[in-house]
Amino acid sequence: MSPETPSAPLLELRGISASSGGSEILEDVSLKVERGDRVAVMGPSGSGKSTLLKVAAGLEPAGSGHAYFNGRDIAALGQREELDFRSRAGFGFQDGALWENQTVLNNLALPLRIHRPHLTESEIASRAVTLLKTLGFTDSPGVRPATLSMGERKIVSIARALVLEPELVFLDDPTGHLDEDARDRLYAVVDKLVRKGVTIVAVTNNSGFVRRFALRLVVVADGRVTCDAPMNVALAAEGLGTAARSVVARLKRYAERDRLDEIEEKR
Amino acid sequence: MIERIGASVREKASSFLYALAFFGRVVDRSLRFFRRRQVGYKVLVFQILFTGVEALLVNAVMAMAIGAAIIVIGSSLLPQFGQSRLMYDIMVIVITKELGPLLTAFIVIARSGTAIATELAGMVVGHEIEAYISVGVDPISFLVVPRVLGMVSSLVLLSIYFNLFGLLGSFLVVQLIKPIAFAEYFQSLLAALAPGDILSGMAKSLVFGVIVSTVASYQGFSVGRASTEIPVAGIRAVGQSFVLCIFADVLITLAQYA
Amino acid sequence: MKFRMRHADRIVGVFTLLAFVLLVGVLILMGANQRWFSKNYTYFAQFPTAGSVQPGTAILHKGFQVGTIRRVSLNEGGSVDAEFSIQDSYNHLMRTHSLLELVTSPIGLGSQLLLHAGRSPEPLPEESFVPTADSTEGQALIELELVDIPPKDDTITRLLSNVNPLLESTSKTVTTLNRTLTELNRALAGQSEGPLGAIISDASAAVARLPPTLDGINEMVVEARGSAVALLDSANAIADNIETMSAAFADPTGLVPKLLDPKGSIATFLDDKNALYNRVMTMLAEAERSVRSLREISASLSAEMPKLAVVLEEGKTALVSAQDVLEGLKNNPLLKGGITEREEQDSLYSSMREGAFE
Repeated sequence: MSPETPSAPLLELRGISASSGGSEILEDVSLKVERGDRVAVMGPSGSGKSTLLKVAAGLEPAGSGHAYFNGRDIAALGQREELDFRSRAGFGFQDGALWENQTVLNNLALPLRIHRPHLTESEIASRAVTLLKTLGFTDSPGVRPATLSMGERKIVSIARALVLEPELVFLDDPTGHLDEDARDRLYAVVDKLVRKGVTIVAVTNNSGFVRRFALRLVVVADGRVTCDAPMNVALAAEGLGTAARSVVARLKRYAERDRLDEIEEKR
Repeated sequence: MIERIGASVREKASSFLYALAFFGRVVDRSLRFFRRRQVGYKVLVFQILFTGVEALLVNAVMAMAIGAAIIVIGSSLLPQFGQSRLMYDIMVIVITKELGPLLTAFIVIARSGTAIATELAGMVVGHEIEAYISVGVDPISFLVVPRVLGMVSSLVLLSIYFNLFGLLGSFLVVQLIKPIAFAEYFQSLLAALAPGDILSGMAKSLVFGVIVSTVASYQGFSVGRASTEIPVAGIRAVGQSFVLCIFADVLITLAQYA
Repeated sequence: MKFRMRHADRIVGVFTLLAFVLLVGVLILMGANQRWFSKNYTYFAQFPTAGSVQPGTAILHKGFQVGTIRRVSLNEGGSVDAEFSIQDSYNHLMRTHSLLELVTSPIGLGSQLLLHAGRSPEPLPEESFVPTADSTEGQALIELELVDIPPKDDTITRLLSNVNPLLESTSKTVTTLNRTLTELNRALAGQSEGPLGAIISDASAAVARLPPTLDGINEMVVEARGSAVALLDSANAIADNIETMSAAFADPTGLVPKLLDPKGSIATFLDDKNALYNRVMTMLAEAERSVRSLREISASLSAEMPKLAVVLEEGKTALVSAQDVLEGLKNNPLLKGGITEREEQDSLYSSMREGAFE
């Protein structure tokens, strides 16, 4: 692998703009994510959160500006560098985005086959099944995604993002469609990631998830970042925009209502 | 008005360039496909199964019908001009060189061109393509190349079967209506058939295969987010494939006779 | 459906393999049928033009393809060198004195390149030179009957292949006549001391060649009338013409009786009771008839074969000079008879064309 600049942030966005069908979705967004950071991207629907995440993960092209991984422009990566980046960054899709023509098992096995060619098929299968079980997937791994509920699809998608044990995980609305049980299991898995020091960038409006895991809060409104600060700073901040204010207020309410003091103490 | 024309020309030009770049990438990845046999192999096998094997029946029926028609008409009409041997040349020209590859391509466009376009379009709409990219799988290498290779080999193989059914199967059909001597028929046919004819037919199938699969994949990838775009992609794939195949057929035939 | 999915590899394998086996099988059968794998023997020939002997031209023997023209090139001598191959199963036809003949259809049906086997039992070594029928070497082979030339399969080709030797012999006859008459004239003028007897025998030999030639024409005329509608008119014209000619000679006031008039008293010089003059006149008449008939054929064919018309024109010139000699004889003070004016009959073809402008 080509030399990386260790001083550079793990992920950095510089001056990102993106548009779709003539309307601006993102306008001049810049963002830095250090190793081990856990960033919650929040904001009203249609504010461009998902697009921001996809541009940061190199899944959608930016109209202008660049996204850097370890100091290297993601859009300009060579084939081997791209493979390396993909094996180190997982992406959990909002609506699952499972490969419909493959079984659930294959949805998890394909990344392993590509990035871990030394593994045998049975090793691949056992890894995939173990991960699915941890996330509470109870169906047979041989079924096709079409038979799954939305919650199950989400679980499989998150499992696919984690199957390579990446150091950076993008999660697009990880708690959506999940019932309470599934959410608890997801939290347990994310806890493990936290212990391992995995960097997480999550787009979510779930205050519980944010209060539990996020170290930094980024609020996106109308394609612009209106708040980018460590969680405690953000919660104490004054003079925020409307969107950021409502987000912060919601987070505060959530904290009071559930009295999750233990978590606060842990931090 | 002039601005609008200019804008549309610029858009057409850029989309043409994009299509060319797409095609170049497909060719590049196709060549790589052979160098390292990767996970796309299974997709290739299934593509041949769907495009080639499952189209065999329609292909055979069509070939036998056309071949039988030529034999029946040829053996009753041509002797009136003292040109009964011309029948074999006509059979070779129609079945091996001209209509065989084109009709096979049409069958495949109708069956698999639409299938590829709508399937890929569905994948785009369902974010499956993004998912492939996110795990480091190049969608061209993994999705398009096996389909292109599968369709090209299916078309070439189908054109061989088209010849078989058109030249020999049709003979069996004609035996039911109007018996002719097999040895004479077979020998005259072999005499009329030149390796160049077979080669030309296979070359056409190859070109048609590349056209149909590339156009279908391109159209499949060209959709945005709405599921209503999926059938549109299928329709466009069929229309463009038809036009381009006929165009290519004319060019190849001209190149041969000019 | 499940079955297909589970055995996809196998089904596709069979599908592919079967197609390749079929393709290879057909190619092998084609090869066997089209003789790709059998040996061919190479020979050389020369043609005046490459017009009808392009590479790929089939060489036929009794309607069967026995070989193919492989390569043609223009040599320094201005004729065309051709390399051709003969299939091994027909190589026994390649014997010493074997011959190639290019026959062009007059009505635009293309041309055929025929191979005639030599009569000699000795096989021709590979890469030797094979003469063509219209070369001097080939003519000699045909004349000496060293080649087995089967009858042509269609009237027009047969007609065509007969016209050339016919012309050849007619022109030869006329030349011999011309020479004889010149010699005779010189002898009469007292300029030659050559043996007159030798000249006479030479002349009679030339005449002896003529009747079969004319038979050939008649035969052709009959066949042409029988089958080729296009030639029917010209065949009739030939017949008419011959009749006219005979009538002219039968005319008691014509040339022949006057020449043979005893008052001409050439008999005093040559004491053979006019035998020589009888002969000369017969020869002339025969030659004229044969040339005229040929001209009739050529007139109808001239669109296709300008060369033939030219040769015939040359033949006619030779005939005219023979008549000049006779004119000289007449002017000889020893000859008192006159010569009647000749009625020139144009060939049907050209007179019809001229008429159209009136």
